[in-house]
Amino acid sequence: MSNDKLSPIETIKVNSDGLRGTLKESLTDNHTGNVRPDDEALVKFHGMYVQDDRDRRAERAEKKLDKLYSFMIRLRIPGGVISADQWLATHAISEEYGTGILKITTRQTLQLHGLLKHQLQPTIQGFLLAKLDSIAACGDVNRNVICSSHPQVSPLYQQIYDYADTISTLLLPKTQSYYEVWIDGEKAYERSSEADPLYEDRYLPRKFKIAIAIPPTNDVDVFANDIGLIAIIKDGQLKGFNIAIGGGLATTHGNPNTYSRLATIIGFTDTEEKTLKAVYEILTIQRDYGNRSDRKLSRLKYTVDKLGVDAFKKELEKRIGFELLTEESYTFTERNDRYGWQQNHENKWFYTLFIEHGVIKPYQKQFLLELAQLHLSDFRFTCNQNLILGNIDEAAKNRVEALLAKYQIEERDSAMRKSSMACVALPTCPLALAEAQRYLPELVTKIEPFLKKYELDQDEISIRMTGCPNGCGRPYLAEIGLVGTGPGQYNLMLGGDRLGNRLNQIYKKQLNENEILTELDILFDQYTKERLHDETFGDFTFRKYFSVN
Amino acid sequence: MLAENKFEILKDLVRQYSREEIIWTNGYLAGLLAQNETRESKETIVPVSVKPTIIYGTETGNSKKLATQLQTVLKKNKIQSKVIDAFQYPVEKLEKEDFLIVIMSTQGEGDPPQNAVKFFDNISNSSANLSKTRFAVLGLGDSSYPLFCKAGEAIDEQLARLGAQRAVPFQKADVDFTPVAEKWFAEILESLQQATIGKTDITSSIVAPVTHKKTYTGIVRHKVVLNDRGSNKETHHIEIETDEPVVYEPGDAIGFYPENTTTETLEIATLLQAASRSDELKTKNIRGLSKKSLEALSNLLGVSITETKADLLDILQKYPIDAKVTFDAVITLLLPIAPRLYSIASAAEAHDGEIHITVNRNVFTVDGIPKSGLCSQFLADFPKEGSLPFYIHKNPNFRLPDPDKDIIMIGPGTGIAPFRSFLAHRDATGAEGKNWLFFGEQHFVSDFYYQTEIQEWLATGVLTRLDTAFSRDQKHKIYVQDRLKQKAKAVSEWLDNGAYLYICGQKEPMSTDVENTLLEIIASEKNISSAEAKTILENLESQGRYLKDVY
Repeated sequence: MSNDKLSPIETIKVNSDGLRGTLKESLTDNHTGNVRPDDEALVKFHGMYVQDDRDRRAERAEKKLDKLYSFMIRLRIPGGVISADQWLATHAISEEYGTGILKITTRQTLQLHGLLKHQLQPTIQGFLLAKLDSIAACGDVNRNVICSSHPQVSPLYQQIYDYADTISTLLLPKTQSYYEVWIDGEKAYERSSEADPLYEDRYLPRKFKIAIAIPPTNDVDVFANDIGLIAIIKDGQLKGFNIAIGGGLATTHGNPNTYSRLATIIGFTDTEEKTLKAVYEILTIQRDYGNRSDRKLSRLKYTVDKLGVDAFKKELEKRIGFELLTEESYTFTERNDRYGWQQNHENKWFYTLFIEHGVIKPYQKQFLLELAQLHLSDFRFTCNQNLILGNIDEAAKNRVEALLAKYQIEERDSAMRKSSMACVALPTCPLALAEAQRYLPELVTKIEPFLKKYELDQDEISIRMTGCPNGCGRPYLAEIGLVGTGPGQYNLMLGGDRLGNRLNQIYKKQLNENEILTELDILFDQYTKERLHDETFGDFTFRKYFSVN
Repeated sequence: MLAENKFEILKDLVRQYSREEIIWTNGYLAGLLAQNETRESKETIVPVSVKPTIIYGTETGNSKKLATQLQTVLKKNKIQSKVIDAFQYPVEKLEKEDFLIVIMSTQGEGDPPQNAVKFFDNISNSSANLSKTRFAVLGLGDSSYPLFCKAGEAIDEQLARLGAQRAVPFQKADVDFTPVAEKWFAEILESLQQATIGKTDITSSIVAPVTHKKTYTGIVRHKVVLNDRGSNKETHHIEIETDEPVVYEPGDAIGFYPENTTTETLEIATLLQAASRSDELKTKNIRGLSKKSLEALSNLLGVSITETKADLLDILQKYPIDAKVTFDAVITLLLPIAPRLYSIASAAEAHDGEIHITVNRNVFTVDGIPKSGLCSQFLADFPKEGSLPFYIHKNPNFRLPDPDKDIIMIGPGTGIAPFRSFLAHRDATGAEGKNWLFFGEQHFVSDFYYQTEIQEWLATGVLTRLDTAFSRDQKHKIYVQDRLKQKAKAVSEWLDNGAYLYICGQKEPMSTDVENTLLEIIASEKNISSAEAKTILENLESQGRYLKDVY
C-alpha cells in the first residue's frame, strides 16, 4: 500500500459513522439547498449527487441567491427490470419532485434530476414503498450490477439475470444509515449489527462496476467494467463465467498516468458459489491494495497493473482457496439493442423502444404511464439507454400495439441516432467541460445528410459523446468518439470497433462543429471508396490510421 | 383691547401673511399663551372631579398607545379616566360626557382608520346638543400627505358645531408625535385642573408648524429582481445613490412621489375631450378614489356610482359622460398623489451611504381587470440611471436597541427590508447583541431574498439564528408563525433575557397571526392565562421592546 497521504475522502469515509456523517444536520440547514461539504461525499453512497445548474450561477448571484443546488438520485436496479407498479410509482414521484425528467442511464437504471434538498426524504420514502432504493448507486462501493437485457438471446436469460441481484445484495454495505437518514432521522440500528467485513469502515478506494454479458451480445460493454462476467453457455446449459478484471475508461486530460483499459480475462469459474467467492475477493484485494491517496489512480485497473495480472490472480486464488479454470471460448456479434418486437423461447413478446440518450420525452412518458396502468408488461432498461417493454403475452400484444400507434411511437430514427450515446454533462454535471446530452442529437442531425450522401444511412455506426474525459458515455468504445475538451471543442476518437472489443484512439484534437463535420465528410468518402467487404467504419478507420502494418 | 398703533402694526403684518401663515401665527400665539398659563398654574394642586373619556381611533396602534399614556399621566394627578376604542363607543352617550378627549389618526385621503369609520360617520351626522361638554382633539398623521390630520380636524370642527367647548386647541401631530403629544397632555391636565375654577373658552384651533421634509434627488444605480425564474412574485431590489449625503438610520423609511403613467392619463384626458392636457393628471390621484371623491364625481357626472372604491378611468369608462362635464371640473375634484413609503433595506455604514429598497410589484385584479400598485409599478418601471426624488421618513418607533441587546426579527416577504438594514448596521458597527431572523416567502429556490448575504451573516456569526418558512414547498402551508411556535421555548428564553422583538411586513393577516402566536407562546411557556400573556406583551410594547412596522 502506498504511504502517500490519504485523500480527504478517505478520512470522511472512516469518520462517517456508517455513512451518516452530519447528514441529519445538513437536511435541516435552512439557509442552503446544499448539504455540508463532507456530506457531499457521503450522499453518493446513498445514491445521490449534489449538482448545481451551472447555466444559472451568474444570474442567481446577481439576484443574491445561492447556486441552484439540486440532487440527482439514481436507483439501484440490478439487471435493470422493474414491474409496472414500480414504473407507476416512479412516474408519480418524478411528477411531484424534481424536473419531471426520467433518464435511463448507461448502467441500466433510472435517475431523476433536480430534486431539492427538502424533497429528498419524501422521494426516497416513495421509492421504498415501491420496493426500490438507491443504496450504493454511487460512491466508493459496488454500483448497480448490469446484465445483458435481451431475454430472447438465450433461454437461460432469467437464470443469468438472477446473478445480478445476488451479486448486488452480496456486495451491499452493511450500514443501515440509509433508512435512518432518509426515513425518520431517528437512530434505529445497533452499530454492532452493522459490522462490515467487506467494506470495513474504509469502503473501496473508488467506484466499482460489475457487468454480466450473455454472448452473443455485448450490450453491457463488459470490458469497460472493473469485473466483467461473460456467461458461458454450452448445450443449453450455463457452464459458468469467464471472469475479466480491470476494465475502466476514465482518463484525465493532461494526466499521462491515466488511461482507458479493457478488462483482462483471468479465468473461468464453473459454480455459482465459486463465481460469487471470486467476485467478492476481487473487491477485498482492491480494498486492500487500491490507491487511496490519488483518486485519479485508484480504480481497479491501476491496482491490476500495479500488481501485474499474474500476481493479482495469484493473490485472488490465495484468498478464494481454489484455482481459476482456463477461460472458455465465446463470441460477441452485436452490441446495439434489437429494436421493435422480439419473442423469447416462452413466446413472450418484448418491444424495444429507442430513447435518445435515455431521456424519456414527455410523449413517451405519457405513453409509458398509460401502458403501465394496463399492467401488460414489465419495464427493462438497457445499457444503451433504451427501454424494453417486456414479458408481454401473445394475447396482450395487440393492445400494446394499439397504444404504440396512439402515441405514434415509431421507429423513424436513423441507424446512427439509434447507435448514439451521450452523458449528462452541462448544465448539471460539475465535471463537464463541454455539452453532450443536450448537443449530440443536434450534431447527429447535421451528420445525417452526409450519411445520406454516401448512402450510409442504414449503417449502425456508433457515435458517443461525453462532456469530459471521465467516460460516463463510454466514448472510448465507439467508432466515432467525441470527448469534450472545452466549450464547443471535442477530441475526435476513431478506430474503436462496433462491438466494444477495441478502444478507439485520438484522431484529431479540439475540433469545433465545422471541423468535426468536415472531417467526417472526408472520412465517410474514404470509407465508401476504400472499405473491404463487410468492413465496419470502426475497423476501416483503425486499419487506415492506427494499425501498425 | 389693543392700543390703536399696536393694532395697526398687527393689521399690517396680517395683510402681508398668507392664510397658512396666519393660521401658524395664531397657533404660535396660542402656544405662547398656553405656556405662560402652565407656568403660572404649576403650584396649584386642584382636586378634579371630572372623569374624562379618551376615545382613540387607530390603524397602527399609535393612537391607542397615546391614549393609554394620557390615562397614566392623568392617573398620576389623581384624575380617573376611561379609555375606549372608537368602534366600541356609543355615540348616543356623547351628551353625557363632561370632558371628551379624542385621539384620531388619518388614513388615505383624509379618512379615519377603518375601526373608527362608524364613529366618525355617526358623529358627523349627529345633532346632539353638547353645550355641557368640553373637549380636546389630537390628530395624528403624516405631513407628507396632502390631507394631513384631516380626520382629527373634522371631528374637532364637528364637536364645536354641536356646541361643545374646546378645552384645548386642536393639535396636529406628525410622524414624530411624542414631543407634541406630551405637551398636549400637559395642556389637557391643566385644563382639567382649571375646570373647577372657571371654564376658559377657546374657539380657535391650533396647527402645529408642519415639519418641512427635505427632498433629495437620487440616481437609481442598480436594479435587480430578487426572485428567480418561475416565481409568482416580482420583488425588486433597488439601489439609490445621491450626490449630497443623506442622513438616515436603520428603521427609517423612504418616501417617493409616484406619477401616473402616460397611457392612463392620456386615456382619461381623451375621454374628457382634452387629450392635449393629459400631463396635468400626472401627479393627481386617479387610483382607488375614496367614497368621498366618488360621491363628488357622482354629482358631477350626474350618475349614481355604486362602487365604494374605484379608479377614475374605470368610472369614466363605465358610466356615461355628459359632454358638458369638462376636464377642468374633473381635475379640481382630484387630490394630489400622496407619497408612498418603503422601509429602507440598507445601512449607511455598510452601503456607502446608498439607500436600498425592497419593493414587491403589487399585482391584483378588480372585477377581473388586472391592476398593479401605483408606486410599486412606478419603481419597477423606473429606468436605471434615472433621477428619482425622495425624502427620508424618520421612524423613531422602529429603532435598533443598544448594541449589546439581543433582537428577534420577524420579517416575511418584503418585511425583511429593515432587517437587512439592521443586520448590515450591526455587522458594520460590531454590535455584540445576538440576532435572530424569521423569514418566509413562497419558495426556497426562487424567493429567498438576500440569501447569499444571510449566508454570509450566518457564517460570520452576525446572525445567530435563522428560521425560514417557505409556504408552498410542501403540501401544507408553513408560515413564520409556525416556525415561531416550533421554537417557542427559545423565543421565550430570548424574551426573558431582554431581547427586543420586531415585526415588519403585511399587517393582515401576517402580523395578527404572529401576534396571536406570540401570545400563545408566552401563555404556554409561562403557564399563564392568555389575559396575563396579553399584559406581558403590552408591557413589552410600552417598554419599547415589541415594535411593529406593518402595512
